[in-house]
Amino acid sequence: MGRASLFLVLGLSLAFGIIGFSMRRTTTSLVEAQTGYSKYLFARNLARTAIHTTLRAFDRNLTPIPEAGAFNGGSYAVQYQENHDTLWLKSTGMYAESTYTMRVKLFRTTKPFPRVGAAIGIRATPVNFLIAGHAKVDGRNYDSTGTNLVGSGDVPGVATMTSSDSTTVAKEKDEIQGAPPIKVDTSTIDPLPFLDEYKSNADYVYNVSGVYNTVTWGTESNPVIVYCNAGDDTTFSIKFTGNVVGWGILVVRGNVQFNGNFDFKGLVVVDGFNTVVQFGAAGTPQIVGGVIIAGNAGASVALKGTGANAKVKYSADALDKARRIGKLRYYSIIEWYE
Amino acid sequence: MSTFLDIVMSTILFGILALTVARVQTNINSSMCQNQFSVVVQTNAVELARQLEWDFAKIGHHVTGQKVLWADSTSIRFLADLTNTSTVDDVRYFLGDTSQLPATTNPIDVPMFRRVGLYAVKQNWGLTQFRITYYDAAYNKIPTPITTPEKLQRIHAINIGFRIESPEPVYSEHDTTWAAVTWEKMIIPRNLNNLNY
Repeated sequence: MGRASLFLVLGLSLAFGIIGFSMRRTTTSLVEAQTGYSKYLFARNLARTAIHTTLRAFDRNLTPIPEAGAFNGGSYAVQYQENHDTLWLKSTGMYAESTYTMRVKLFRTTKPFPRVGAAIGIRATPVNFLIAGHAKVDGRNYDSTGTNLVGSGDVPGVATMTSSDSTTVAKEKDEIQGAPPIKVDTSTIDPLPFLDEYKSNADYVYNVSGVYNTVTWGTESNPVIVYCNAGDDTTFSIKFTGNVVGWGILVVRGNVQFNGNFDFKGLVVVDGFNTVVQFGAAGTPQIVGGVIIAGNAGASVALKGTGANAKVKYSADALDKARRIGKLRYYSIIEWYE
Repeated sequence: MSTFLDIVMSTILFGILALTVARVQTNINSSMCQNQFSVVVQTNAVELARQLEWDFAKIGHHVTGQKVLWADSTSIRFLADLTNTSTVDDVRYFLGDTSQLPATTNPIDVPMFRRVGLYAVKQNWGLTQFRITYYDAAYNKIPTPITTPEKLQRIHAINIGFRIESPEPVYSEHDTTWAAVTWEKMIIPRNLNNLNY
């Protein structure tokens, strides 16, 4: 009897052992199926993250563009090739033993940019416009440096929305050059819809009245957005002294004074009701590109130049370069394979 | 007398033990069946999900012109270069009916057909529900069936949902409990509608 019981117990133990092992193997298979899918998803997300990271690196003009990285326990590698506006990316995400590859072809461009059909395009109407001192407006098409005339592509010096505004501006006609110097052009795009984006993406923001010393805003290859907000109170002003050099988009609200050799290349948007843009007496202050006065009805804009060489010069080339602001760039998908 | 009593008691105890073991064995078998069916349906769900993601993510790749040819709530036909070899494939997904899976006990499972070019493959995943919903760029649902090119061009995102059940009942032949997995995902095919990134 005792021997039989022993065999029975041993037999049962063996049977339960086999059953337990089998159940554990089934559970392991279940976990493997789930974690396998999870790893695959992680690898895919990493490949996508790598594309985002690389595009942001392009937007920030990083040199060199990072080609590998790690995130959340996984890693990724990116290979890229670019040809003008076309960008090819091969992104591979790796997580545990899973890998996922995406091959992407993108068209790189920038968001719509308010077109300027004159050295100064006035969208506001009616407008009080004043040029005082020796500030000049030149609608002839200059190169991006503002030193050489291109010889073609000249535009009006000042474009207004109505003939009465044109008459207002014509009081300053001695300071305005262009083809013709003053013109009614209702196609001037109101920059107001663009301003919120420019303000929220500004690389440099001046919200406090005061005097700011030598400043450099961006470069020709890395244009930026600058927002000078002096407010609508005319006593509240921002002054820049010394050399002020910039590329990109400059949004001005309120009284801003640029002294010394102010040299901005790109688009200047004047936004406000009582805005005075004043060039100082010394040096050769200039805006090369274009100026748009936003459509705030009844806006009062004064361009003052106490020196002899202050100028707003139209340059299609400078405007084109200003468009290439990284933060305003976007990518259209031409091909996407994953 | 004492020996006789021992034998009787031993027999009773052995009987109780044997019954207990048999009951445990039954429960263990049932659990193993449940586990096994869970593995089957979950593995099937993962594989089907990966297949759908693989195919749907490529909709419109290397295709000029119309990319989705028709779209209904349980079927779709689209063009895509599935293998990235500049050869555009004509891909169709559609469901069969329950009579096409007579071997399974589950009364509502249906086969799925995946046709690439002229070759259709009947897939038995244990599908009991399969639903495709289409959305435009504003994420408004587009009513199905979508047949006109104008409406087909509006498709921006595709939501896929399915339920997979075990082919046999989990506990016994006459049981109606099935191991099941549901899966749902919104896929935005990147090659549709000149997306920006």
